[in-house]
Amino acid sequence: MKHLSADVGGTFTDIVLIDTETGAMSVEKVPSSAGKSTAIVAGIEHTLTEAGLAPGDVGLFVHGFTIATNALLTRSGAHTALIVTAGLRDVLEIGDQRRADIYSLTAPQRLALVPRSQVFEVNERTDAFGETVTALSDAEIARVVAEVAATNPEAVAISLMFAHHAPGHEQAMKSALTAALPGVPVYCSSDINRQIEEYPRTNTTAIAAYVGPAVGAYINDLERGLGDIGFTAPRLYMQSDGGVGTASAILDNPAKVLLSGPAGGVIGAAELGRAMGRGDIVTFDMGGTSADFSLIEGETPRPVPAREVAGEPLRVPSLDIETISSGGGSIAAVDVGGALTVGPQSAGAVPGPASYGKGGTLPTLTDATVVLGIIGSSGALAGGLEMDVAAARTAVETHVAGPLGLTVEQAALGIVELSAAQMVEAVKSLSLARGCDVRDFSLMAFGGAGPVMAPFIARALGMRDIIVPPRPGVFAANGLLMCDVSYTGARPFAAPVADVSPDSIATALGEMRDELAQSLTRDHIAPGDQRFAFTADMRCIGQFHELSVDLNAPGTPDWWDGAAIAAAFHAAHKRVYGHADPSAEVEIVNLRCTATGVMPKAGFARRDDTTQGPAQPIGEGRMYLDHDSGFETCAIYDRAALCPGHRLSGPAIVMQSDTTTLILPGQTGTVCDLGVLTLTME
Amino acid sequence: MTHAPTAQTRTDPISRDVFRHQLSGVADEMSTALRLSSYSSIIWNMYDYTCALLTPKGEIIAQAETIAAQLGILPMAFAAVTRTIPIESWEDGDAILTNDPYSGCTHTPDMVLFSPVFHGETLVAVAATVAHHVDIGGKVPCSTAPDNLDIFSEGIRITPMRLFDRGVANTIVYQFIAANVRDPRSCLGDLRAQVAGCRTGETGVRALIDQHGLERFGDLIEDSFDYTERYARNTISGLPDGTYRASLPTEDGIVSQEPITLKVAITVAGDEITVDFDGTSEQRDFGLNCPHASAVSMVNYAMKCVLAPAIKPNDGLNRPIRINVPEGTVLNPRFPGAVSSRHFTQQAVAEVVLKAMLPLMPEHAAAGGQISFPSLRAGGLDDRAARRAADGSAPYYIVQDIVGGGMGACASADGKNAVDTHGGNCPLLSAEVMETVSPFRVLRTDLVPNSGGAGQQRGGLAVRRSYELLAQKAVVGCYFQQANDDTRPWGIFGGEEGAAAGAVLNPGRGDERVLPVKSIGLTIRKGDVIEMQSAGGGGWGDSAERDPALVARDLAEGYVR
Repeated sequence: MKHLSADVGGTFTDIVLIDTETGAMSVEKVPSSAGKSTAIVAGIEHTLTEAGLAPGDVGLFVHGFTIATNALLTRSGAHTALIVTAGLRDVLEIGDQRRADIYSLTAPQRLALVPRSQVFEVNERTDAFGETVTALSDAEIARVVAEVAATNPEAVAISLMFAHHAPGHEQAMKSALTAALPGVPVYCSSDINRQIEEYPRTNTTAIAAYVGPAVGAYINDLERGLGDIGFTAPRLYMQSDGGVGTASAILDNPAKVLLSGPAGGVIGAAELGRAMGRGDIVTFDMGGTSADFSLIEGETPRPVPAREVAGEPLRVPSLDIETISSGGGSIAAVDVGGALTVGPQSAGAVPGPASYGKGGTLPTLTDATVVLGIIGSSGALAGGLEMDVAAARTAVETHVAGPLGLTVEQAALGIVELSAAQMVEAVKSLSLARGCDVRDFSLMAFGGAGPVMAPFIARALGMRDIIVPPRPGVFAANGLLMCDVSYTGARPFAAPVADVSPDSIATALGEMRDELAQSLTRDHIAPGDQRFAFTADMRCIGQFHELSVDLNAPGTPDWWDGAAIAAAFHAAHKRVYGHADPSAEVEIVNLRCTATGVMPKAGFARRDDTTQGPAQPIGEGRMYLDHDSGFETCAIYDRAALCPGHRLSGPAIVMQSDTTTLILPGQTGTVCDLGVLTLTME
Repeated sequence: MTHAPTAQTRTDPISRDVFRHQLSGVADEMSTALRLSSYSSIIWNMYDYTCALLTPKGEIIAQAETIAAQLGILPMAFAAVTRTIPIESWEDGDAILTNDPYSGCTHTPDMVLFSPVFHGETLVAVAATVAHHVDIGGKVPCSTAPDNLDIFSEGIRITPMRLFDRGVANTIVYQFIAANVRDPRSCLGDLRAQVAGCRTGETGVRALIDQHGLERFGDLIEDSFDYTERYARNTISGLPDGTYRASLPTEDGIVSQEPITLKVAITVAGDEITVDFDGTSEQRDFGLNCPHASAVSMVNYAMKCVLAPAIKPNDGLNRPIRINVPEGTVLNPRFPGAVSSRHFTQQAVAEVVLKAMLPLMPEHAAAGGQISFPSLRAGGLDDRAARRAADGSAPYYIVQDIVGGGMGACASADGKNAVDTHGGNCPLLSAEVMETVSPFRVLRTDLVPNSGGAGQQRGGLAVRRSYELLAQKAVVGCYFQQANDDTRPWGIFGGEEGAAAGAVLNPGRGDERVLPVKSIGLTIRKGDVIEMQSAGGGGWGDSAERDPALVARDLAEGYVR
């Protein structure tokens, strides 16, 4: 079977074709074109032609895309109308009223996703227990629908008070709107995020509506394009939770694809870790403008129920990926007190780093690595780009070395070390929040710039080793082909664990499971490939922070044991918060069900051309990695020529078409039968 | 006058700047550890705590950014603590607790915990955490009330004492505290979280010393202080010498109708600044006094806002700044004046300093903003039918809400709407959570049109929030300030004032009543509605100069009617 994936990045879209029997992989890079799928379809056609295949030969297509994220980041989403309970018109404007920067008097107002003039109040009210206080009349529905329709919205979000308990009013509004506005997607908060707290629930629903039309247009365009070239395979789309979904599942809740872009790399990392027998991994995906980190514990990346994207609170299950605005293009500067800063300003693609020779004059992290001889010392990069070493030196000299009274090389190494320090803090904060000791973890580095910075980060954190996949530049696209179909459901269920009726929980969980099973069946997942997991969000009565506790499948013998579930909660509390009070009464807040449709997957290919001894360098370069020793000779290796069993010693550079890997002095690289390069400290 | 330090360093600038990231990383780790292990929502949801690292001399090396108002008190609290328990007697594993507003602390609910960091035999640093505890005893639940008569009505006063002695918990202290507070489980749980925060700081500092060596660690710290000091001095040097004055009135509203007036004279001379509060109102008889340490802390906060808003701070920033707060004033009350509601006066300290500094650093400054801190507090029996237990008994609840207001406009932008300002960053309570945990239904929460002062840049908008009581009866506190023309947020360069704050009982009904700035122990009945409104921010510049596109947007969006 041939599986195909396409992963959209900031500059390039990576297309990967894998033969699931042999593991053979071919790769194509096409320029990303905002919002258009033409280039992807053309790239796919080209990839298949090169491989001697017809579009009909492909068995599965998986796509990671950034259209939703970009719409949110650039505030270019749909003309959206939002309907709220009377009195709550400013729920998005006011938010949680917290400021991001407590020392700034001049930071501008955060703009609500839906402007005030597009928010409509409806006269209705439900109380905290789901009982109707003010009924929603037909006349009121008609009034609001007419007002909304008059603004010609491209999408509508509905979020009414306590709709997570009683969705009736929202559903009635939705029916009327759908009838009055054919073709306009309408999203209810009780479908998108059925959870207490009006601001995050409303914002999540507004995000779904805001990005929905763009996601819909993009997917339709792509599917039409693929159909036109004779594509017949199932098409699946990467979700933020690390699972994939069909087009219709995505369009039911477009808020769940905001992290579609970076998720593939995390799933790929977990799979590669499994293949290597490594369960504890920090992923590190770095490109030109940002670096993404996430933590995999015990082989499986666990989604978190809520996070922020582009400063907006979003409550759909998402992989816990921490992004910092630190990339190859981050600009270095010296402030009024004489301190070095790197980022958050970025030179971007235009004008780009000084060494790209496209008009950039400010020193970037990439320029620093050029000065140090890590990048560009051995000829052209991918895409035939020659590095302008003189321009990089001038930029670092003028803006950093001169003001600080340092040599150009000292300043350049300083820029790299300071960037690494920022990344180290990002990893520490991720691991501390989960109570993990990162020294037991491997750092898996990919993306165009990850394998250059990884040795500095791993060394500072004393991590176990660094894992560099065979094709770091297209690793995320590879990861897309290792995902399962996933659906999640949640509903409020308020009851103390001690008093709860197991039958009522079983009924609630069973309803959720049946609903999700229908979705899987609709996606042609055979019953034997359907898996279900159940959890409850629980907390001590009187507390606000909740923890998720696994439940047995309802209906199985002895599936419910209140005391054991409470004990599991207290154990989780101890693990996460460092203390627990087993005498405290525990209550359930929400029930959740996760459905997985197991997909056939391409594994990582194992090579049988094992050899022994040191690898042969293809040349020599000079790198400056230490102020005492200055420029030192280092070996340059060609990644394509490395075989399983080869050993490499730092200082060294490993070149390949899509990235450069740095090996520091004292670090040793080995190649395993998966073609993976692993770096360890001697 | 000291000379501005040159760019010379003991180590090198790169090592220093990497080290500063590492230090602030340790402070952030302390913050995560404290918050994750905290018990109450005041820490978990409202972030009312702070963490820092100090030198053995009590200077702040690094801090986590949660509540700025609590941070600046640490050097004074540390000085007071070491007068009682000399630093030479501190041992590894100790943790020293205090909360005394008359020994460098803020108000009694803010518990301050210090722990020494030893490397071998040498004391190398001090880890510090401050956390607001829900209740510390005293006259009323939550301990703070504007009409507290003196410090003795504000709960237990903990003079410096060892909560941990060489790694062993002092159970007598724990028992003593538990016996004197209303919610011992939360209080002790949050104290344990503070210990966790301090211990995390100790581990982090020791790891840094392992990496850098003890001597170099000390040099890196001195270089870091020199850097922020140089940053501040270089910035101050660019300001014109002279004395800049401002005054700011706020309401008392408890026993006196005479406003409390803060007066400040800020003198810039070379690369130094002197801040003098001579002429400020004498201390009041009730809890609106601001402890000396809090006043100093808010001056430091204000200076950072205008001199160095973007950098990671340490006490080097404060080296060029001298502060004089005359004793016996509302900003440096004499014992045993009450201080528990000091946040009203405390926010005014920052506001008056920023007002005086505005002409000097207009690019970092803003017009007057909300400092009215409108808050509603209630406690009692939740006798709603759905809340009653099987035997008919109604559960006890306690609830508090703080409503944000408008920030002042600045040269480059309109003021922010609906935020908590100077020194604080409290979130708004979710209406759904409030109605779930207490018998209060939020009927509306909206921005108030026209509440931002007009100007070339408009002030941020105020918020109006109304609450309906669903239980038979409740006793509430309803507090705010900036309620009249003399006290509402000021405009600048021709910009207009922001709207005044206010509160009304049963608006639009026959029994409608305007509430005073401090309603203490107000009894309300089922169906009664309290409507609170925060203050709007002041405007910046002449409104005739406002971009027509922004004028049109304001009208279209209903920010202005």
